[in-house]
Amino acid sequence: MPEDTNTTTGRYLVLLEDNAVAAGAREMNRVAGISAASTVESVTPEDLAAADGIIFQELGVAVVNAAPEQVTRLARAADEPGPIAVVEPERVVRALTAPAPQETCSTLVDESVFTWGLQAIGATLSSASGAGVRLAVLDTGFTVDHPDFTGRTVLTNSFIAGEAVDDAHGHGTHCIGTAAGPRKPARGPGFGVAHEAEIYAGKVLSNAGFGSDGGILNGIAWAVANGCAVVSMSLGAAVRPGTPYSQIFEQAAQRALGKNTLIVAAAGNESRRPGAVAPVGHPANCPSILSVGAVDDQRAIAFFSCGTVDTVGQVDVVAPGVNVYSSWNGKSEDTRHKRIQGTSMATPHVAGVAALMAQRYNARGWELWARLMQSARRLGLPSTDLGAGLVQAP
Amino acid sequence: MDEVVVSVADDSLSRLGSVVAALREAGLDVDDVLEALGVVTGSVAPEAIGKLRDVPGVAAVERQRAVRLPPPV
Repeated sequence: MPEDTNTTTGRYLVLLEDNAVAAGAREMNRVAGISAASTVESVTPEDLAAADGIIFQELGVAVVNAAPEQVTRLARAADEPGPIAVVEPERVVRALTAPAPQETCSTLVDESVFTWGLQAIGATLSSASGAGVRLAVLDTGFTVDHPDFTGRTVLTNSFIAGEAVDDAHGHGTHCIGTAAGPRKPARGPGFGVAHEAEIYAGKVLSNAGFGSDGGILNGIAWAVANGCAVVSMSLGAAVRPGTPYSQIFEQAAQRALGKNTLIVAAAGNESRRPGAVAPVGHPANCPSILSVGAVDDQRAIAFFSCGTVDTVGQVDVVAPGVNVYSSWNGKSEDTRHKRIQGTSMATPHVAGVAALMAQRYNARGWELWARLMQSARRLGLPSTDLGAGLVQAP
Repeated sequence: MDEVVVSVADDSLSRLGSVVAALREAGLDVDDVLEALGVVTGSVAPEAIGKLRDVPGVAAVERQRAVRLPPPV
């Protein structure tokens, strides 16, 4: 069971499509093994706790007790056509009599103009745009004809033998969208952090999502040679606790920093909190690569986010990595954007902020690293999970 | 053959070319010389990896790992 917090109960709300209550009940059972009882009346808390879930027929809403993997399956079903429309954490609602807690950031999620992620990192309040800064994303490539990037400077290169840079996977396009996509896309809220940066899209993972050290180092060298201020890498290999970091990636990262290129990389998605915290993966576990964990829209650590397990290989900062809206590789209006989650989504938020800082302060290399750490917002959670905290735009 | 990555020590970066030549001599089939990083990629017979490590100016030799997207969650 997920932990309850001040604002959520640990249960989940499942919104079913109109007139699809029966089909929704079957689908929840099929994808997540949840047998929810149906009711037309109110139920007691005891009823709710005892059952897998309760479906409020009149509302077309189910309240379910779901383990993280069940939530994942439900969320996946919600992304696809079918009777499950939306899955969200059940919130705690309070009467508005007590003074509001001292909080600098609202816990309300209003995505009518910008994604919650852009708001959480303060990018919507920053006048920096990343203009004139080169930002590389090494991933599954780029959807070269995506309308979100019309008129933008995008340079591409594929380091995968036999595959063009075009992104048949979608992951690379999503990461590029977060780091440097538009503030006013054709559909949905604005999501691009460094929305005027010059984009270097390197394909180092195949369309199936696989690559190797050699291709990644090639991509890094390409970014360094082209003067990219920041390299975003939402990729990795899981490691066991106690595994030493790669000396070669560490040395390469130090040399890249010396040539004014900062590398940020995803910490990994192998944790299953609160029960299990997995170590930061390769190559994010190298001391000179900035490793990025994920938080959700309540500023809580994401259940999957890798943590600091060993004496080296720590999480350095966190960024929004749950329910992240960005570009996708589809060819229709409905498939050109998508919401997904992972430390992969947090990483390009950090790369984008780094590009904004590179523009604002004319900072590069270790100075960028220092400014990211200096300004990250401390969240009152363990530093082993958050590092310095939630990155903030300059 | 094993795919490997080789890093060249800081004090030997200025003579990268001769280090690469010595790596070839020791059995490395070179794919790329990444000058910006002081890294050489290539493949080598498993029993010759030790010989690469002994080449003067080599800091480290590692087998290439498979790297992937973090698993979807």
